[in-house]
Amino acid sequence: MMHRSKLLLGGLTILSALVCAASASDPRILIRQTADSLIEVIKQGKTYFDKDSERYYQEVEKVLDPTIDFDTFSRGVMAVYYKRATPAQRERFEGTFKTGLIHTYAKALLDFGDESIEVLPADRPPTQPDRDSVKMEVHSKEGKVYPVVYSMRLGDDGTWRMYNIIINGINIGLTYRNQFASAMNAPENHGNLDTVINSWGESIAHIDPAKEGAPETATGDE
Amino acid sequence: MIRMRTIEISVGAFVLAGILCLVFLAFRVSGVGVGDTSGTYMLKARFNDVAGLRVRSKVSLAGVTIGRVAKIGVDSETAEAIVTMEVTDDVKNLPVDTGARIQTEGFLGGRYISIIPGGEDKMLGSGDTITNTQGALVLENLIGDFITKMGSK
Amino acid sequence: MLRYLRLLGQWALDWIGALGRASLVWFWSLAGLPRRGDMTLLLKQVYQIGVLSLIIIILSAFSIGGVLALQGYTQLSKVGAEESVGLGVALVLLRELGPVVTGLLFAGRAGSAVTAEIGLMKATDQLSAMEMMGVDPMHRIVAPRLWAGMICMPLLTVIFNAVAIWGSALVGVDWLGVDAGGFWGGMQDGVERWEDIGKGMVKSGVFGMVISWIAVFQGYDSTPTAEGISVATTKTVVYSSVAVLALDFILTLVMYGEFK
Repeated sequence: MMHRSKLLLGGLTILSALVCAASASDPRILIRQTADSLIEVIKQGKTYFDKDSERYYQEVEKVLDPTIDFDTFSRGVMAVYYKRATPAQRERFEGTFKTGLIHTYAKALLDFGDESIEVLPADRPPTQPDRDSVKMEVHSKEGKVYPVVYSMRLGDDGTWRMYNIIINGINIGLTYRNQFASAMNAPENHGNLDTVINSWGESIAHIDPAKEGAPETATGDE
Repeated sequence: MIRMRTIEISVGAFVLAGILCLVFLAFRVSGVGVGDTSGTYMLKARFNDVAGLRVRSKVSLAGVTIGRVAKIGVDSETAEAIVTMEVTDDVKNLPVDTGARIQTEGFLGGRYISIIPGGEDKMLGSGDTITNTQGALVLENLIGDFITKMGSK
Repeated sequence: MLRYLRLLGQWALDWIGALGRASLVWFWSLAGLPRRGDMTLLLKQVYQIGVLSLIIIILSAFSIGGVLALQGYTQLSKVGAEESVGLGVALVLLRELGPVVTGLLFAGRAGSAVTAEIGLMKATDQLSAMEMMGVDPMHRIVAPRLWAGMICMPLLTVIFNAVAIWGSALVGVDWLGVDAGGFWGGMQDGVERWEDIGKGMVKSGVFGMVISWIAVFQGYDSTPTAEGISVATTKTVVYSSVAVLALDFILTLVMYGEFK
C-alpha cells in the first residue's frame, strides 16, 4: 500500500511540476491561468466586498503576486530617479506602488461581469529570449473589444512575469512614469524623493472603498 | 557715363548683400538643425498608432528637440508602425526601457514624439528599437469609449 | 472659314518659328569662349539689371513682409496662435512670394529695360553695324544680359526674402507685440534649409532663366521701329509674368505635391 501511494504522490508531483514548467515557459498559458483565477476571485469578491474589502484586496494580491514583477514595474515608473534613490527608497516605493496598483485595479475589476477574455496567439517569434508581449482581448457585453497587452519578462528563476500593461492603447507604465516625473518636478515637492514616494501612497489611501467606481482611466498630460 | 570703378564696387556690394542675406536666412530663419553641430544616430520605435505623425516631425526630450523622424514604416505581421528617428549624438545614454509617446503640440499643433528616459542599466545603442511606447491617442476614440461607458451604466 | 483656319495656321507657324529663334539665342550665347573684356560687359549688366533693381525690391519686400505679419496676426490671434505668425510669414515668403514677387518685379523693371535696350539697338541699326564690323552682337550684347539676369534673380530673391522677414519682424514683434522668442523660435523650428529655402532658390533660378530669356529674345526679335520696341517691351512683361506664375504652379506641384 505504501508503495502505491508513494508512486501516486511522486507521479502527481512530477505532473504538476511539468504543468508548472509548461506555464513557466509559455507566458500565454500563465496569462490565461491568471485571468481565470482572477475571474474566480472577482466573482467571489462581489459577494463580500462591502463587508470586508481588505480580504478582497488580499485575494487579488495572492493571484497577482506571482504574475507581476513589481520590482521591474516600479523601477520603470521611477525611471531616471531610480539611480538617485537609495535601496531603502526603492523598496519603499515598490511597496507603495504595488499596493496602489492592486487597490486601483482590483476595484475597477469589480465591474467585471459577463465579459469574455481571449488570449491571442503570438503573431511573430519574440526578438529576445527573455522578453515577450502577450495580447489579450476583453469582449464586453455590448460587443466592444478592449485590447490589453502585457509586457512579459523571463526572470532568473525561469518564470515569466509582467512588468508593464497597455490597456486600450494607453501605456500604463509610461503614464505612471510621467506622473512620477511631474511629481518630482512639482515645486511643492522640492524634488524630494521621499516626499514623492509618500504622497504616492497617500493618494491611494484616500480612495473611498464604498464609492461605486467606473474603471479609472489612467491620467496623462495630453 | 558711370565710371567702371563705381560699377565694380556696387556690384561687389550687391553680391555681398546677397550672401549676408543668405546667411541670415540659413541661420536666423531656419536655425541650427539637429545634427549640425554634432553627428546623429538612428533609433527605432514601434507604435500601435501613429496618426498624424509625419516624416520630419520632431523628437523631443523634456521639451528640447533632440531629433527628427526620418522614416515611417509598417510591420504588417504585428499591425504596428515602425518609426525610424534621427537623434543627435549629444543624447546618447538612453536606457533600454526608455519610453516614446506620440503627443500633440498645443491646440492646433502637429504630432511629435516625446522621449521619456527609463531606469534600466543597459543602454540603447545605434539602431536599437524602443518597445515601451504609447501611440497617438485619437480624440474621437476616447470620446467614443467614454460615451459607451456612460451609456452602459 | 478657310481664312480663319489659314490665319490660325500662320499664327502657329509664327509661334514655332519664334520658339526656334529663341532657342538659337541660348545656343549662340553659350557658344564661343569667354574673351577678355567679357567680364566688364557682364559686370556692367549685373549693375544695370541687379543693382539698379535693388530699390524697388527692398521697398516691396519691406511692405509685403509688414502686410503679411499684419494680416497673419489678425487671423491667428482669433485662435490664440499669434506666435506662429513668424513661421507662417517665413514659409509663405520663402516658398512662394519671395521667388514669385521678385520675379514679377524683375520682369517689369529689368526685363522690360533689357528688351527696350536691345530693341533700340536693333531699330537704330547698331546690331547690324556691329555685325559688319565683325563683332558678334550675340556675344557682346545678348549673352551678358542673359547671364546677368540669371545671376541677379537669385540674389535679388534672397535679399527680398531677408528684408521681408525682417520687415515682418518689425511689425510683428516691435509693433504688434508678438513675443520675440516665440516669433523667431517658432520660425526656426519649422523652417527647413532645403525644403523651404533651398527649393525657393531653385524656383528663383528657374524664373531668372526664363525671364532673361524672354526679355533678351523679345528685344532681339522685335520689329525695328519705335512701335516695335514698345510692343516687344509689353510682350516681355506679359509673357514673363504669365511664365513665372505658371511655372510656379508646376514647380510647386513637383516640389511639394504629395500624391497618394
